[in-house]
Amino acid sequence: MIQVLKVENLVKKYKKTEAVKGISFEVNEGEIFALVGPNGAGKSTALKMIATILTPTSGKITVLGLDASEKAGEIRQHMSYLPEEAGAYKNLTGRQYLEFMAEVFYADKIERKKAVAFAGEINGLGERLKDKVQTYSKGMARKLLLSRAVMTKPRLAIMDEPTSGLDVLNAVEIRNTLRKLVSEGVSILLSSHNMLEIEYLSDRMAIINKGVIMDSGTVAGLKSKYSAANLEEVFVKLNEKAAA
Amino acid sequence: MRKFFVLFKKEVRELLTPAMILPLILMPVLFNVVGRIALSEKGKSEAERPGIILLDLDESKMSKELPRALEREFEPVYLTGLTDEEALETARREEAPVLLVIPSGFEKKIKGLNQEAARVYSVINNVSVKSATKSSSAARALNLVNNYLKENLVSVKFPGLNADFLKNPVTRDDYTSMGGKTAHIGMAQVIGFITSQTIFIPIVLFMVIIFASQTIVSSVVSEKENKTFETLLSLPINRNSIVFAKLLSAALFSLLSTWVYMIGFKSFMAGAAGAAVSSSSGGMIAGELAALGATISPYGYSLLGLSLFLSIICALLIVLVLGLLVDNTKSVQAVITPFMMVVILPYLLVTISDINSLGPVFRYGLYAIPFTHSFTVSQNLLSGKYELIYFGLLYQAVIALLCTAAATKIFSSDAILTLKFNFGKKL
Repeated sequence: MIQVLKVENLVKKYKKTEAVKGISFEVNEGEIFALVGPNGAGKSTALKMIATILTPTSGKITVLGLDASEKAGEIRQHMSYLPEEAGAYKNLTGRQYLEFMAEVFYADKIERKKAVAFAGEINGLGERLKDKVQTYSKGMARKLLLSRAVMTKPRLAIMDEPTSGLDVLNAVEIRNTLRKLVSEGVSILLSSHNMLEIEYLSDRMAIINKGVIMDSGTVAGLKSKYSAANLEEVFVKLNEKAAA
Repeated sequence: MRKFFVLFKKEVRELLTPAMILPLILMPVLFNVVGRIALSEKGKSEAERPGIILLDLDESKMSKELPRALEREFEPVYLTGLTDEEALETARREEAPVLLVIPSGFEKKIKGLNQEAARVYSVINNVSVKSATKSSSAARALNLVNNYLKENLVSVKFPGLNADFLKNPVTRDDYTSMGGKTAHIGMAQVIGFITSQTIFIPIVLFMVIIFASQTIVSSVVSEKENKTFETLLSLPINRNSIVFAKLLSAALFSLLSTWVYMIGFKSFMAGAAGAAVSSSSGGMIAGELAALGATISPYGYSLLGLSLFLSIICALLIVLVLGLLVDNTKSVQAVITPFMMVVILPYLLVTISDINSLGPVFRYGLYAIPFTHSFTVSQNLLSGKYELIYFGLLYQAVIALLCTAAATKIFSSDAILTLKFNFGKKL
């Protein structure tokens, strides 16, 4: 099995706080790996380091066999990142925004057209792509951003709370899209505090709290290990174990 | 390079919002309209002769001839047998700017070669450009009266003598010497012309810096506010390209804005101040100034251009870094206002005084501000102080390099996301 991402003893310290305290995990090709934990657990900081936006204090990140501390530029060409509170340029239309993003990745016009067309298929915004982003609803904007993140068919897509703030219908639509993308060869690393979403989406997962991975495995494996009916119970039992 | 232009195109598209374009179209038009109104008002007030009320309490042969003397420049209304207050009421009603009261016994005193005081009331009917042009009416009226009386007295007391000679036995023929060169021109004209040139350049620079600062700070802060910054940083783009694409787009937009505003401002000034110099007189003055060496050579203009460029780069980089400190447009003023103060201080001091005449602490403090050197460069060019210009350029280049290093370092480090000032924090 090809390893798309390998994270080893990743640490991030700010002046007074240690947000991530030596986490390790890997993401294999064609799987959805989820980092699950409450707000402030260190999920977003870990994802930002993997997305090469933040520099780790220590530890190693390897993407497609490339060391992120040395080959960040090359890695970014094969990876995409969707932040939790992402937005698009409000003065551009949806299509202009996608064209701008495609232009960053491809010099070839045909490649760019293909990427924009694929994004159109994913987001399903149709004629609304001609409208300015500032006129979009939250759900439409999130679909546009999600399609931007996968339009280049990255080897690894990093998504921080991809359905955060969306209503049920939009959230379900986005989850289905993510599942479809995996079948097309995109590996996904996502974070969420929504245990139900993780149960539905992820192949494997790691439960993180206070900057530490408490346990990892498949959803079924973790539920069985802790004799829990759902992931929320797994999380509670892990916390009780840590407190004891 | 391709990705730089992709980013640059995106920055330009982001700047071309109706909120940015509309003022660019409307302001010059507004300036032009106001200027034309002011010019028309000024023209009207210059064309019409103002009224003047002459209250004659002497009613002598001499005092009765005074209206004729005043007719050269005024529309006199001759009154007798009234009090000052009653005559003032007439002046207010007739909107005459001056009431001249000739006292009783006037002719006797003048003929006896004794000075006499005439009461002069200046009447302000409204406060406007038009009334400002009438402020010299009282002095002009008294001058006409005095000239008439001088001519009258000379013809009576010294028949056959030239009255003009007695009034001004010596006339002026002006020359000005500057930097070892001499030209047939008055100092007032030289200083006036140089001032008009040296004031214009700081105004342009000041406007460019203000526009550029506002453009770049809004570009950075809107990236943060619209949550597009993290996505941008995760793209396969060199972070220096992000910095320079923002700098270039802001610089070009500010130059365009300044150019458009200056066109409007120029037409406004031509109207409001009547500052337009006719091409023939301007040409004559320019010729004498060239003889005096008080013009800026092409080499001088290239030094000036380089200094302006370095100032704009410094301003853009400083504001770019300041913009990273805040994450919403509400907090922008908190970081921009102190910066504006640093720009305004040397600008004001250069336009109203000579920095080199200030105390050493204040002087060196001002020279520590990189923009000061651009504000003073035209003065230094005209007075031949090239060593100050070279020093200024060197200093500005060092500051620009330091700012570039700081901005690129911040953009390539975690500081770009973690650098923050919480201005909204409650005490």
